Formats: sequence, structure tokens, C-alpha cells
Amino acid sequence: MLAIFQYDFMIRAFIVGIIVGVIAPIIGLFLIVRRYSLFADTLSHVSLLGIAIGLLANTQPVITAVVFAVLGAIGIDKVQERTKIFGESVLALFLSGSLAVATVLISISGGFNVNLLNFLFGSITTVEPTDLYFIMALGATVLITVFLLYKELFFISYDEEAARISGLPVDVLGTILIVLAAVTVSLSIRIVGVLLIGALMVVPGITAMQFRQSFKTTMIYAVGLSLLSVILGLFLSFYVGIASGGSIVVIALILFLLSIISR
Amino acid sequence: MAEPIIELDGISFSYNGELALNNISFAVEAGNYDGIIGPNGSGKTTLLKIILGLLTPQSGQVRLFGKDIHEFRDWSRIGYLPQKVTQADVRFPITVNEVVAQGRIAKAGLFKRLGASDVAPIQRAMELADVMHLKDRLIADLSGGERQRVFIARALASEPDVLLLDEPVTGVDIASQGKFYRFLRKLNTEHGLTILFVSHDIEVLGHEATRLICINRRLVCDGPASFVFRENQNLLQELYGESVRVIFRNVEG
Repeated sequence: MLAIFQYDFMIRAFIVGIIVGVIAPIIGLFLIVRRYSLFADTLSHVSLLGIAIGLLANTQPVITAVVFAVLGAIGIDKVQERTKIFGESVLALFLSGSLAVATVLISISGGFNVNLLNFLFGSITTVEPTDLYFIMALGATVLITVFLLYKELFFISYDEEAARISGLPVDVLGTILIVLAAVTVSLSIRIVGVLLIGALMVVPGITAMQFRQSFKTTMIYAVGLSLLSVILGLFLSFYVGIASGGSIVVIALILFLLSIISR
Repeated sequence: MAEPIIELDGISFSYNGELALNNISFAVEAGNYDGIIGPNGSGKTTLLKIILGLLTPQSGQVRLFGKDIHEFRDWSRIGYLPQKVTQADVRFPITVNEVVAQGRIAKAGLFKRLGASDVAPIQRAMELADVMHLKDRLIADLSGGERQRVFIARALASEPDVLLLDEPVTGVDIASQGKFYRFLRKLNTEHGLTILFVSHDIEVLGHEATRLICINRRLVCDGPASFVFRENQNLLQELYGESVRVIFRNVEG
């Protein structure tokens, strides 16, 4: 057996990596086609605020990250709906705003430490046994929800007006999609890190789009590319000793470049 | 006699205090081929959005198939071809088959997958709109006329009783436009589909529709196309303004 599988933390990293590797590009593809790619990055920074609070309160940071990301996603949606601020500016507001508050909280608590850096760049050693079941349960919830609502989420992403006229509850479905995005982002933070999760959600999707297939096939390709990036990235992280977020995203970027060159 | 498919009663609508539609009433009966005409800014697209439930008028009532629009749930009976389908986003990875199947999504119901009962209507719609041979092609790779037929097929896939169209020929070449109008007429006469067509192009609608409803913030005229053209030229001048001359060469066709 490979040395990499003799460590419990690596097995946990692979389990979480595979869950994240499946759901991140699926949700990411919906965000890409809705021209909402930067939403994932914004939510990851809101998650960081949740993590800072979780570390301060000495509770599970993954749980506080999910809670804050979901509240942040709904907050962004409401602010965009009720104010006349440009949608993109609302994202900028939440991104830098939550980062600022997180920084303040972290400074108060005695400054940056290794633990926090792991959350920023991702680390294969940080998946705690207690995280595992939480991440598996929420990951399965995201996947099942997308499976059940695939055709509706697809329709509202392509043609919101036609979907509304056909009688679909477009606003509710839109909220479900952003909540799914928030959960996905916060679950991915352990492995990919706050600063790079946006890339794992977006890069496999745009690579898959280079193959010019149907939406469904593009989604399957994106999942395949993402899993390849995550698995190779975890190996690289283990054997070369680099942050897992970086190695995963660099591989995803190499795959993207190959798809562009081979066209 | 059956209830009218669409019934508007005293519809008024204003945007930010400015009256866009003033007290509009008319009914569309089953089997009609009706055209709503009016110059740009006359409120005809607003009126269509009110019929589709996208906008709520400040006063007046909309009834669809005899039901108040707020209680109406059977939206699959209404097919809609939006403006600018020819400019559909070409970056979205989507095939013809996937677009047409969207016409069945609401009808199939939440959480359910499209099943055997959806396949036949999707195929029929694609055959009717002559896009079957394109079914695995990407929308991005189609011409304007082909895209228009794909979106018509999507509207037909829900097996509607009425088709609403909003300036649907924008960006479509002349030959495809002719084919498109013949297709609409066939849907109306052979398949009994009721059509409500919104356009600023009085020449084409005067030729195609059997009845014209002229809107310029208020109802200017309503009657058979020939009547509107021959007997009421002053109405048309009122509609489009003194400076606009309407060319009548197609009217007798």
C-alpha cells in the first residue's frame, strides 16, 4: 500500500477532497453561467469570518463557517434586491467587509497563527475526525438537492424570465442555489483554503466549457477535471510538502491551459 | 361559448408615476390570430408582461382562461416567445434538445425528472418547428432563424393553447422571416393554436393577423385588420403620428 494511505489524516483529506471535488464544480458551473463567479470568493471570505469566530469561541470552526456563509449569502441576496447598489459592488462590500471584521477579531484574540494560515491556503492535515461526518452529511445534502432540483436550477440559470413565466418559483430556487454555494464554499475551506476555493469552483467549469458539449455533459466533465485536480493535488501536497489548496488549483489551471492549447 | 383565453378589463399601469397604459380592455378568443401594434414606447411590451404575470397593473383585472391571473396556475397552457431570442448567450453550453426540453420542466413538477410522457411532446415540438435535425447541436452554432425555431419549439413543448410573441423577428434574415410567418399561420389554422403577436411592424401584422389591437398608452383601435387599414387611416395616423406614412402594399394579400 502506498505510504500516503497509511495516515488517517490523509484518508480523511481524500474523503473530504472527493466530496468537495464533486460538489464544488457542480455548484460552480451554475455560478459561471449565471455570471456570478466571484460570488464563491465573496462567500469564502465571509466563511473566514465564521472561522475566526469559531476559533475565538473555541467551537468547531467548520460549523461557524457554514453558518456565516449561509447568512452572508442570504444577506448579499437581500441587499442586492432591496438597494440600488450594483450587484458587483455588493459582493465587494461583503468580501472586504467580512475580511476586515475577521482581521480585527483575529488581532484581538492574539494574532495570526499556523492554524489560521491553514484555513487561508488549505492543508491536508487539518481535517479533524469530528469534521468528517459533518462534511459528509452536508456534502451529501448539497448533492441530493442538486440532483432533485437539477432541471429547475438549469432552467432558471439559462432563462430566468421564461422559467418565471412557466410558473417556477424562481426566487426560492435562486435562494436555494446561493445557500448551496455557501455550504459548498465553507466545506471546501479545510482542503482548498479561503483564498483558493473560488478557483476550484470556477476553473474546472470553464475548462469543461472548452469542450463545447451540452450543459449536462459539461457538468460531468467539470466534475471529472475537478476530481483529477483534487487527487493529484493531494498527492503533490503529501509528497512535495506544499499547501494543498495551491497544488490542487495549480493542477486545475494546467488542465485549463491544456484545454485551450488543444482546441 | 367558451371563456376568452385572455381578458383584460380596464388595465392601467404606471412606471414611477408616469402612466404607461391607460384603461385598456380587450379579449382574445380561442382560435384568434391577433396582433398588438403600436410605436416604440407605446406600452405594448408592458402590456404583454402584464398578461404573463411579470408585472402587476395598478388597476384593472387580467383573466386567463376565465380565471383571475392571481389564481391562475396552469401556465403551461401559455407559450411565450421572448424578444431577442436570436441574441441568446452563445457562451452558455446548451444543446437544442436541452432548450426545447425546458418547455416541459414546470409541467413535470418539482423534484421529478422528465419522463416518458415528456419525450413525445418534445419530439413533436421539434418536428413541428423543423429543428429535429439540429437536436444535438449547440445553440451557439445556429443561425438566427434556426434559434428562433428552437425557442418556438420550447414554447410548443408545453402543449400550450395560446402562443404569445414579442417582436420575434429581430435579427432574423428575410427568408427565415417568411418561413416563420408561414409557420405561425399553419399553427393557427391547422393546429388551432391561438396567437397573440406583439410588434411595431404594422405592415407585417396587417398582413398576417386577422385582427389588430392598436395601442399607444391607450387603446387606439381594435378591429379586423382590413377594417383598421381601409376605413380608419386617421386612427393609424393617430397611432403613429402625422409624420409617419404607412405603406399598404401588402394589405390585400
